[in-house]
Amino acid sequence: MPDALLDLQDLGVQFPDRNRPGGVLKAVDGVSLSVAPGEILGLVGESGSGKTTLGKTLLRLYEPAAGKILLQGKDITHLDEAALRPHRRAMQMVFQDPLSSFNPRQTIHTAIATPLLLHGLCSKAELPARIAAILAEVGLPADFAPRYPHQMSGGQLQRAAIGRSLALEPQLIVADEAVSKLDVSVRAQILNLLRRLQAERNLAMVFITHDLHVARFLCHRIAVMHFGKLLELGPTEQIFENPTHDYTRALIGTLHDLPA
Amino acid sequence: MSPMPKRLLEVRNLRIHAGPLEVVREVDLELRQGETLGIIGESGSGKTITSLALLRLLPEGLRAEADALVWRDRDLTSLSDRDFRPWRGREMAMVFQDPVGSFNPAKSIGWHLRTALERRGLRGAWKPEAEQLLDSVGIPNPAAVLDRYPHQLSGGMLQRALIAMVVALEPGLIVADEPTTNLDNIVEQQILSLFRDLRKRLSAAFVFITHDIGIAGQISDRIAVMYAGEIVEQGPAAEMLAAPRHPYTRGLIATARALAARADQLAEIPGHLPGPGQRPSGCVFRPRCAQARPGCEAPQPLRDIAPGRQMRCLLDA
Repeated sequence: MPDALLDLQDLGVQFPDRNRPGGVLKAVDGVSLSVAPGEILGLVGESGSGKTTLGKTLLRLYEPAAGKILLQGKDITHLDEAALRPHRRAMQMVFQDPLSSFNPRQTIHTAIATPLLLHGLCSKAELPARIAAILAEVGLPADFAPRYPHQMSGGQLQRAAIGRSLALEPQLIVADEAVSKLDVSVRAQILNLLRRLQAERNLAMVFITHDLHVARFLCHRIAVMHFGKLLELGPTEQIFENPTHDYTRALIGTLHDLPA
Repeated sequence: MSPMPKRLLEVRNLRIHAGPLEVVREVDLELRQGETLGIIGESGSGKTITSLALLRLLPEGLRAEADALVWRDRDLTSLSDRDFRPWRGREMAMVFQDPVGSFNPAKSIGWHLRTALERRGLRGAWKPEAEQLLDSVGIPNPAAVLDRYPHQLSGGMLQRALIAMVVALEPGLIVADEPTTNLDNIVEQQILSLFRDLRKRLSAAFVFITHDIGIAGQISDRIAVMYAGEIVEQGPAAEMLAAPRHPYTRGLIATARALAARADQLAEIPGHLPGPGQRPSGCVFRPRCAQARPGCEAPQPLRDIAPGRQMRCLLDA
């Protein structure tokens, strides 16, 4: 796909198999998919399906054993850390548990300022205004900047984590179960925020989730993973209305709407 | 009209304290034979410690009191912890979110089932009944599984084995605390249908605790909604889902429906849950409630709004 923001070609990731000395476990096995600018691609599957491994590998947090990762047409599969740095800006990650994704001894100000300064995107004098703008974009008042993570609720902290990931103005965010640990009454706030950011910033996302309701609400296309392989990929409606694979059918069959 | 099933459990004005903090207040519950009560709540709502208090399993530092805690016509509030011990397991049993903690890792599945069956009074050959129990909870090849150890079973299979152990005790009350939350979607649905099957087969009553209103709707006869340590609304499950009355319940259901309908925007409940030390006076939902009005700053009692239906809100009062 020439216009793809991200293009994965036959990607494979292996880990040593603890149960078989010398054996390997194919955590991700021959996955090819692409993400267009501004597209939200849902990665669904059960635990052990390889969805998180795939998310971390496309960010180059794991080394692929096979295949290629192309970001904006550029092959980043084997770039070293220095060569990778300019590309890191384009891709950010939001984790499931916001509390463990922040340094407990750093304020939110410091957590957002560090990547800005590291990438030379902002002078020290501009920092307060820049951080206030980022916080405002994710729906937090500017007076949250001096707070520490433990002084915030789970939803507020996940907003801050999303803000930190936006600071570098990425084109792609990998969100791994980013709403799963949030309280139900707070989850809707974050889902609305993600949807708004996608629309306003034309932000692309790889949205990893086990929650099919959430995937159906947020994602343009859905990729179904099972035992490291990509089983099925298609527009959200098609996956939910006409799943072709038996496993996808079983998975979709677990979806229960509230009785009217 | 068929006669009302026998009342098994009645809880009146249960309170739980953590030091000076009242973390659960004014909980009234009632449960009849064969009935499933779904307790819905978010983290910190008090749903888990309420159920732990019923079984006197509260962790150190938490203290429960109640005006009445009646089980089959017997008030348990006067029983000492020691005298209560035989009741736990035999009369009231619990299925936890993480089944691993309910097993002794050094003992086989067969040992656990034998112990449960002996506790129920079975003497002599236990294997046929243990195998039958495993089979009844959908564990394939039960004879082989009796020789396995907990770590050799998957999460879903271990949860089934725990349920078999609980069923072996033939308790009158089975409390299940988020028993499917750690499981994958397909296994979750299998365990839910196992619970539905048990409801039909056993004469026990069930308390099913979940944060997921959709799951509660699938499994419960009645639903109690907890928020910040209080029951804010309770009633028949179908009525509660079709016509929620409390603004918090309405918000939860509106969000779930908007999600399922793939609305452009989800109905949001603003703000966040208060921590245990930050409960507002009066109605605890007031700071997040779009319909808060003068009067809400006063404590709200749980009042009857329809037969079998109660809520803690002054709307329509």
